[in-house]
Amino acid sequence: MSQRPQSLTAELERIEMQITLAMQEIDANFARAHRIVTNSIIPVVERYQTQSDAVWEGSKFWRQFFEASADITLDAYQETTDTTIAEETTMRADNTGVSSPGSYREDGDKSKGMRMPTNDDSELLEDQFEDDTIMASLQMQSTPKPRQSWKEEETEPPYQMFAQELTEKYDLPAPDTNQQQMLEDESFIGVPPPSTPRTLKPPGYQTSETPKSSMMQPSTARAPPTTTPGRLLHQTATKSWRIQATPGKAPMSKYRASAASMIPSVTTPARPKQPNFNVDDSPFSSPIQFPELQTQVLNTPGPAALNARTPARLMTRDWGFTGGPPGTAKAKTPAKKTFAGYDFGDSDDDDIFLPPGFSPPKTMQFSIPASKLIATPAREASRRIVKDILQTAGADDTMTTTDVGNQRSFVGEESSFLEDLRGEPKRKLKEEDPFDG
Amino acid sequence: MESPHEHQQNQLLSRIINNVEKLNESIKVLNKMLEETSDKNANPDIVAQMWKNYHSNVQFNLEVCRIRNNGVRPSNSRDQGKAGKAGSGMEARRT
Repeated sequence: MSQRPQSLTAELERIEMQITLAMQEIDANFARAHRIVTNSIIPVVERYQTQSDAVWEGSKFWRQFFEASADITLDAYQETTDTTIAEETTMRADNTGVSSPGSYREDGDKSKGMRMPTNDDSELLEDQFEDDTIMASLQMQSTPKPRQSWKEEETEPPYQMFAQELTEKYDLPAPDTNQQQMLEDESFIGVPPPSTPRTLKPPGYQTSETPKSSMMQPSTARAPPTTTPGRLLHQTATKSWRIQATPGKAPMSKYRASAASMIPSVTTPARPKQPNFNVDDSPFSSPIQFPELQTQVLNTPGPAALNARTPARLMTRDWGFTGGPPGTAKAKTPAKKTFAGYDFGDSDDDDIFLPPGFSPPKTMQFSIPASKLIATPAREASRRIVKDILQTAGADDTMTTTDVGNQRSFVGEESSFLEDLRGEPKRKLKEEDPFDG
Repeated sequence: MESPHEHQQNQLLSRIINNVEKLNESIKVLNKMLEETSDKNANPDIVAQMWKNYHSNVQFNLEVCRIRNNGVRPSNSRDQGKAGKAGSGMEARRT
């Protein structure tokens, strides 16, 4: 009997010692973890941060380059995670194309509208109508029908789809017409492409597709239905950043728009009106031009005093671009020809987007007629040249200045001087010089 | 009478709590640094995305040029004209 309490006490002592040892081990582990984090991980992360800064310094130029070339400004702003759950889901499905061809199951919270794909088809049959209505309300373009084509998209590289589009366009022997039809159906339904959105452009996309406009292509051409076009997503652990591409300043677009119209105006300065001119035919025409914003800039009530100084035709053209309010300056020039809302009335279209206060540029006339050139100081110049020549030949100084008859005889010299101005060799002047010995 | 094990365990517990607090602070600092780094890496991410899209566009246009240089005629003459103009615009922009 006495052995048993002794054994119990020993057992209790042993357990206490084990607890103490375990706690010591826990303490040692926490201390070790703290030491590792402080001494090892944080310096490495600091170095990583430094290197990341260096990387950003290196790539800053390219961001500015692309922004300038696409004439946009990228702004990053933070959004709360709750409101972007559905968008992120759709965007991830757009990006990766990994959405399985199963049905959709409710995530338990219909208010968020987040649906995860499952493989339960019976639930799909039950809730298909409800799914469609909710999808329509959420403007999500994923319906159960095109899921088979999603699978096709998944298994097919985008460049093969490219090649199919090109073969269809250029009448090459198509590899599979069913797949092509399927792709067309996808483009009609609006299912976003997996990685390269340009693959599902409509057949006439080449008229508007430019590298400049598609610089931000995954954001614009992906066209998530619930987000503004031109956004990229950068998600961190706790928050999600969205990158919005806003159009750049007006002068940049002005110069690009003026560059489009500069070519015909420079080559044929006096060309009359062209009513059949097509905007899309211009090689510089790109869908990223934002004329509305430019006209908003020009039509702000702030610089009204400056607008008063601008020519009236400038204002009428700006209003004609957006179909501005009738009865304003446009009513003063009702005879202007318009084409699809755009005014092509004047031949010098390069000053369409001139900011207020700027006068339209003038084309210099470089070919001066000879009659005008004679009226210029060339007469005096030629007289001085002849005088110098005569002085070199030893003539009297007063000979040319006082003698009117001699001055009249210098007309031939004058004409030779004019020829010299036009590029004739100078020795011709010497040959025709009657005073040359 | 206080058990010696209890006293030792209390000391160990306070030490553990102290170490956990310090570790928590370190993890907070680490998280903040990682967050800042991630935010800074968003810009190179955008640049990389731009380059990727540019690469895709160049690939596509080269493919179109290759097909056009092979003498393949488009089916529609109007499409051909538009494609040619778009291509010329692209080339002008490249230069």
